[in-house]
Amino acid sequence: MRRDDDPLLDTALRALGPGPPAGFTDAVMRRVAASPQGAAARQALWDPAFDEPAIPWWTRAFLQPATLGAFVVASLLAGWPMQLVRASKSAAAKIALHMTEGSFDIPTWGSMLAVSVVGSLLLSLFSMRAAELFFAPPSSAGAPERR
Amino acid sequence: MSTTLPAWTLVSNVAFAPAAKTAASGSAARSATIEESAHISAAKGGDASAFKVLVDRYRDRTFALALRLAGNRESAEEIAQDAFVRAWQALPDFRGDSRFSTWLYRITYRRALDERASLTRRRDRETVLDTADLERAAAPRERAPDWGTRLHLERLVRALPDSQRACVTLFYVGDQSVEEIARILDVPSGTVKTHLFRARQELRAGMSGERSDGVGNAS
Repeated sequence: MRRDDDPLLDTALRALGPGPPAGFTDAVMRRVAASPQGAAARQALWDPAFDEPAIPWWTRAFLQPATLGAFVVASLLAGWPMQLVRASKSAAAKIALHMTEGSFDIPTWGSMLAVSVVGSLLLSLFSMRAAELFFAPPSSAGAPERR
Repeated sequence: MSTTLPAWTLVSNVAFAPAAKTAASGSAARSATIEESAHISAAKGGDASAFKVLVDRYRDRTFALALRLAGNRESAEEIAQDAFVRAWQALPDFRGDSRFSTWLYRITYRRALDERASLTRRRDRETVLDTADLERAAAPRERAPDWGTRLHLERLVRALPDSQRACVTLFYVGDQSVEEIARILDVPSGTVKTHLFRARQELRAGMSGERSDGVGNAS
């Protein structure tokens, strides 16, 4: 469609009208300065509820640390129930002994706590890295993101 | 003076638009494209000052597009700002398959749709096409002699259906081709041509009525 079929109409349509308020560019650049760019932004903006997700929800659920932990516990319960019962009884007995005798072995408890915390963190890190490596979010170029 | 052309000429002219646009480019346009590519490349690398050049270049057109889509200046400002911020964030993904303006206007258009959906969900129908913004925005000294005509035309544009209004704005204000508008709106090119044709018919009829009535310039 040529833009000069009706010069008066075309000229009037091309008029931009009142521009943005003063300070618009500065406001944009302030927000730009506070905004990440690239991979961090894609992860922050990626909204699987809106965009077509690259991986379905049930796959994402499998990658959650809590889900993996639940699977491990379920596997142990299913595969070695009696061993788990014996181990828990033994642990309970030791704890009770420590509590009744008043002996609180800090290195033992501290190491157990440290192993638990570190183990949880490593498990979370592993699942997050696996998600990044194998299930990268789709490109967000030109695609809308919802807050 | 009215220029009434047969419908087939209007429709056929749309088909030749890309060739006409290409032929009219010239060396100046090529230089501008090369310069813009340099700014885009720098901005992709995190150069905010290069991105600021792009913001200044497309600020007015992006805001005009947002204003036509949103209907009020407050929403338009927010939409335009969000569009630029999202463009900055997603710039590393910009492959250059389309013009930067096409890509930016697509972000702006989708953001405007989000805003409209948000308003609908909040049952806050702020989509009143408020042309009072136009009247308030420009001080009397800024009003051109054809101010009244422009205001009347703006009212006509804002009364168009959303799809036609978007096509007209992208075509004239955004200087996008039919194919580019089709990419932005995610519709076939034929649909864009139809929207443009019908919108121009409506606007021409409305402006012809204004001219014959002698409705003219505001003092």
